Amino acid sequence: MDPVITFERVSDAAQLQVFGDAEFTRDQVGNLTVTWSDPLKARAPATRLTRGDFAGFVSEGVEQHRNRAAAYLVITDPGGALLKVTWQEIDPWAGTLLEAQELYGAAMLVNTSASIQRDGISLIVYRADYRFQRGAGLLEQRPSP
Amino acid sequence: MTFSDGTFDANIWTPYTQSINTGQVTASRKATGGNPGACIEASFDCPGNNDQALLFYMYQNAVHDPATQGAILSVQRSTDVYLVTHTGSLGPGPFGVVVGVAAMQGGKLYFADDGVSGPETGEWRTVTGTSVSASSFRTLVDPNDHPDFTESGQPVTFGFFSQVITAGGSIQIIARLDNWQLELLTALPDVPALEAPVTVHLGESLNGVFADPSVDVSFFQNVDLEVGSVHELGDQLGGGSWYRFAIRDRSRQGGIIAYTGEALLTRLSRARPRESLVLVAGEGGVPNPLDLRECLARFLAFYGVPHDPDLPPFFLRTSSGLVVPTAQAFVIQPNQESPESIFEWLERFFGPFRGYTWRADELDRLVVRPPAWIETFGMRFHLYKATVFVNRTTLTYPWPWQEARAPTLEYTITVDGQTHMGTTEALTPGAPVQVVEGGLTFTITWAADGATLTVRLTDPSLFAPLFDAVFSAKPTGEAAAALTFTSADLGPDEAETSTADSVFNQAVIRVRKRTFEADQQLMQPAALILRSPTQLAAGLFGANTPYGPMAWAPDTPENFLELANEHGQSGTWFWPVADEIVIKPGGNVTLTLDIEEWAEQWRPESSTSTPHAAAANVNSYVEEVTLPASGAEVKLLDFQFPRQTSDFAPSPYGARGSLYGRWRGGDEPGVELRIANARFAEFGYLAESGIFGQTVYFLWGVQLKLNGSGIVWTVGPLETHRFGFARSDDGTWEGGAVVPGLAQSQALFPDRAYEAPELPYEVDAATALAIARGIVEENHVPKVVYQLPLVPAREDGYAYHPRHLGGAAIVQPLGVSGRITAHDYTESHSPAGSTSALTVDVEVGQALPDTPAAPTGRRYGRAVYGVTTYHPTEEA
Repeated sequence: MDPVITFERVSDAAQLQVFGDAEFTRDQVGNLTVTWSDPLKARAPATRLTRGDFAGFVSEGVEQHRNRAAAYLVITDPGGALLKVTWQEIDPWAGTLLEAQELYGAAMLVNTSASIQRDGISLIVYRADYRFQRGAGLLEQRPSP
Repeated sequence: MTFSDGTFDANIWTPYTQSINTGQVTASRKATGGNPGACIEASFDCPGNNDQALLFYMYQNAVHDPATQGAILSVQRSTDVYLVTHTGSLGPGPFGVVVGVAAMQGGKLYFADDGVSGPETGEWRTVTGTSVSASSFRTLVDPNDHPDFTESGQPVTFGFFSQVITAGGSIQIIARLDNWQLELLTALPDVPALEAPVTVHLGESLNGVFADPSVDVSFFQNVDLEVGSVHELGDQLGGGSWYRFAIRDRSRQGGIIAYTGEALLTRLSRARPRESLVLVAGEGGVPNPLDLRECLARFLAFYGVPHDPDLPPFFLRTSSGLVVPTAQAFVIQPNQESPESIFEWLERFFGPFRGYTWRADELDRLVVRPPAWIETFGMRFHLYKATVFVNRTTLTYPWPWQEARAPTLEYTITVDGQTHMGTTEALTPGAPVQVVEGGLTFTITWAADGATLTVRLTDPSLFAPLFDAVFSAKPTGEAAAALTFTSADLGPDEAETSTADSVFNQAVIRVRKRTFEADQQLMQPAALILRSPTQLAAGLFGANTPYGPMAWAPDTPENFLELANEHGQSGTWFWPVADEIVIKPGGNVTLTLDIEEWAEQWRPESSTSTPHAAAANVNSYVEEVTLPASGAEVKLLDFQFPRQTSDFAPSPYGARGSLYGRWRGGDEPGVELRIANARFAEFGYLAESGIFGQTVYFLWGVQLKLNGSGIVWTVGPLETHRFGFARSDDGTWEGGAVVPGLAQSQALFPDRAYEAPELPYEVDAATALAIARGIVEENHVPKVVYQLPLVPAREDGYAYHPRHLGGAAIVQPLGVSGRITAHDYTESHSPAGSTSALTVDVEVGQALPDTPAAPTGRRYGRAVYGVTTYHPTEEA
């Protein structure tokens, strides 16, 4: 049993689901850091997840802001995406999956590594209600609940 | 989410009716009879058993789409109900009108019975329903048909319904409904708004007597405001506006747009009118004596400065009482070449009145605030009788708040070594109050219009005992009362500074005397002679023959300044103001123009270098024209040049020309004359023998004699009045003033002179000296300034509002009182958190003994400062 995380683009609902041993860390702002060891994008047959699989889901040049109304805004380079991230962590004691958690934001790859023994990817999801794209002036908004 | 309405506009409300059996209902909007105003009146008629009549009113603005706006958890409404009549075999039992929430989804009408209006008639009742959810709603025919309020449901329109049901009898009811309100509880809050600011910075600081706000705000990129557009900034907690400003700078960087705003005073520093304003006491409807408030009111009205009409009187305090300057004249006379700004005029005007505060209020109007010390120290009336001949038994001062704030007086009266103290009640306008102490009676009168306050010894007879009495008047009322900071309001780390820069222990006031006389010769008489240059006579096939120049060559008249005496038909000449006239403000220059027009005849067969007939003076006239001294060019006249040829050809063949004038101010004032649009030649057919004649040319010349007159201001020498420069052997300063502590101040802080610019108003020598003295006495002690970080301890946030700037403040924990001279507010939001900070500067006017603010003053006199201004014995 492995944790599972789903990235869903707000704009077109395209999904990327990742399985594999992962570590989830949330900071005080609410940003989520995910670090995988040997992640999979499919289980049977097992297909290894690579950096390229994130194309179209991750953003570059992410800048995070907040205003008085507590609206979180990320500004990204063109080609980024506002994501709905749903994940289920594992309860190490019970050995079961915990209830799904949800976060809107823009993801950014921070590290990928591969060696003979293992590979790993880590990524940060910056919490955001809105994503503003540099240059084009495109504004994406998370749907109202 | 809340919807409400009490007007029932037919465009927004849609009625529906439903019934069972013989029940009927009609309804209409009534413009009056509601609670209050408009209402809906419904008339139900259910004559039979088990009749039902249902009235729906759907509010088209109350539409909720669960798919995008979130599922509806519950609905609650309230309605005002009034039973007009209630008849029938069932009445008046416990039956009434049922009212409740109505919902329309997919064209189907649902209602939820959530309350009943009782049988009382003739009384409005507010009926608040219970909170209902989708399962409480039904249709008339099916109690199990519910609307879908979940995210998969269609949009829902809400409204109210009213229903009457009979069971075993008949009923007729007329009911009115008003003030409908509906509250929707939806699943989750919306996405937070993107329009809120990311950072806010507001600063305002008294620079001299003027405070101009700096407004900086930044937003996300979707708030894209245009440069020049006007916005208001207010208080989200307490409500109300703080500033109205126009956007001056906009800069976009990294997804954030930062804006800088500007308010009134910045604008006034760019407004540079050229019109003069001259007020002379007693002339042209100007009151005599002319006080500075009147000058200011007329100044602001004349130059169109938006302002609060409630302007305070202007005075300075000295140890011997208030100085209320009155002016003999008030002269605003802009330099026509580079006019001063309105702000510069105001600075010149009011620089000496350092206790006043000038700022732009939330409506971006100029507001002038009277000195804060009246609130904390009070306006002091000092009456005394030191000997039979050294006495003062009556004093009248202007009261800054008119009738808005009543004064109350504290007094200390010393008679025969006995001191009596007390306080009066708040006064009533026009109702004198008497204070009787130690056998003396004082009458205090607050004038009926609230403008002045008079304290007078009722019986100032020769035999009255020697006394010394000090009354200090403080305003009552809340309008602008001193702001009191408690320890809860203060954040940690207040800072205290005092600087010698705030000290003025010498003052120089400059006043210029002016006298004026109308219809005076302004300009040296001048002459301008122009005659036609060489012209071309039109010939066949381009064989144009040159003619002229005009042979006429007059001399410039004697004693006239020669502006020009030359060939030409256009040009610009400068005609200076006569040497002895130094200045000419405002109004108009009257120009008298004595014009001679000369014509000289040329014709083809004569030589091209000599005229056929010599020049003759064919036309003379005198014109008097008015040239406004505004710096704008005006057309003075068109030359007449009467036709010399008998040609019937139209005017383009005639001679023409126009004279323009423009007043030029500045260091070398005068009039710029310009002749333009001119051709000094006439061409036409001259009939000489019957109708027979030939084509001839006339060359024209003009001789202008000019004279200018107007109001002459003769400007006298600049009088300089100094205070704090000379001290006599007995220790008194100029004018016999006793100013304790001034000598020490000068020893500690040498060379601190206030150099006032030349006052734009004219005052007599005694007033000028008193103004200088007032400046010295108010400023010879270094001001202690506390920088206080505030915390939002009050229910509606900070205790401080920008309108308090310049007002009195009492800082309880520090034991000081003074006035607020600056504030600085910052607010910024980042993903890591939000911060806000507010600091205000309080300039200490008076420190309580043994408090942190006391030592600086005590050096050579906190007490002395007190004596200088408020102690009762310094004049004895």
